[in-house]
Amino acid sequence: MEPQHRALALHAGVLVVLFLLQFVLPPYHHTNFTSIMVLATYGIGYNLLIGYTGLLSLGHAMFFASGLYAAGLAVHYLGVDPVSAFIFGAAAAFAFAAAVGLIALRTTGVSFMIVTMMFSQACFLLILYMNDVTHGDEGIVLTEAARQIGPFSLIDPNVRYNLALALFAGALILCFLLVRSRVGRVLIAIRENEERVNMLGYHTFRYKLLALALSGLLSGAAGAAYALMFGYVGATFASIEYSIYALLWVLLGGSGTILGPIVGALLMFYLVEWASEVTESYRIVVGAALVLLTLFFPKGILGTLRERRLRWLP
Amino acid sequence: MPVLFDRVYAAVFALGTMLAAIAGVLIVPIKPAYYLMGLDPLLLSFVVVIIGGLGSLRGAIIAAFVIGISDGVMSVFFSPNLSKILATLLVALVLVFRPEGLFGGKAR
Repeated sequence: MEPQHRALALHAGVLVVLFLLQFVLPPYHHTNFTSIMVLATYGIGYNLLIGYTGLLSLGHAMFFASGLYAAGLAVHYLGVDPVSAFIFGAAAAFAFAAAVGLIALRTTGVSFMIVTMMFSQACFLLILYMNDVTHGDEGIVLTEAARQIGPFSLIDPNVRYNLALALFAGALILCFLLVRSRVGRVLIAIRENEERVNMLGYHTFRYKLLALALSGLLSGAAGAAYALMFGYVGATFASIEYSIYALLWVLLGGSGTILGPIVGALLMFYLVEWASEVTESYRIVVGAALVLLTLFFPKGILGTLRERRLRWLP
Repeated sequence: MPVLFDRVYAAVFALGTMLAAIAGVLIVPIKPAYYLMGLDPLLLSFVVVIIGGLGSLRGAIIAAFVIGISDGVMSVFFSPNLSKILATLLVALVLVFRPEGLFGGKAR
């Protein structure tokens, strides 16, 4: 097969397998896979920035949380229907990411990491500070009645699974198309050598801003979906832990690979699950995984696989 | 003579860690010791070093006083969260618009 067709077949195959899995998974893993697919969407958004554009953000939790809160608060206070709330959440995260980008993208490298981390921390604290509205510390539980889309209820696991799959598939396809497009190639070129891209006459700032805004859009869409599907909105989702998780999934799966985030999220989810059964301080596993990955396995699973065997993997 | 830069890095890292540990020892009589006690100072040390100017000792000391006092005053009169929000935003803005810091001169 042609490399292009192989890649297409692989990604379509993954989506088909995920669709079929819902008929065989036991209820517990069924729910796990639902949240893994939503979280992997967040990972795809993060990967767009770190993996393809080469910008390392340590504050992506703010985009996830802005989608989560925009959708959650709209449902809670205004009684908006879930579909509009989802669109509103994603759009809010897109606008927020673009605004952050206008300021943060003036810096590069370590400064960019710190600036995004500080913005994210400020958001987290702001959610706690405005506790009267956001109920940051104890969280808001969205009612069942508010999570009804026509005849479908978001309480129903099957509805949730398929919506999560649809969201994930959308993000996967968007990423797949983007990476192969002209814009995507410019982004990859920026990752490899920004100065040269600048010299070739591309306005790299605009491309980076676009990457950050799209990344925020996907993260925010995942956040909004998470709020609506699981009916809980809280400040923990804005904490630095959630920024680190996204980094971890992408690094584990392979940064700069389209399927990396889902592979990483899946493995990490079950690793944390297993670790929290064994010990209460499961975060030590998360920390150790991060250190070991960066030291010994910087390309991740799919990145290494691409290097050794599957050169065509996008 | 060759400079073994990895050893220099390791030595500097150890020295920095030692200073942080001393600060930890000194703060224990004032604040309770528990496993997350490093979180707040971590954030504040970031704030201080960046606002003071990376690589500027004078800037770090001035910034430590300014941030420490304003943090205390604002925590009393408004809310501890508000002072932290302003401090983190200030760091971000300083890094973007004045990377050499507010109090340091040129980094040496």
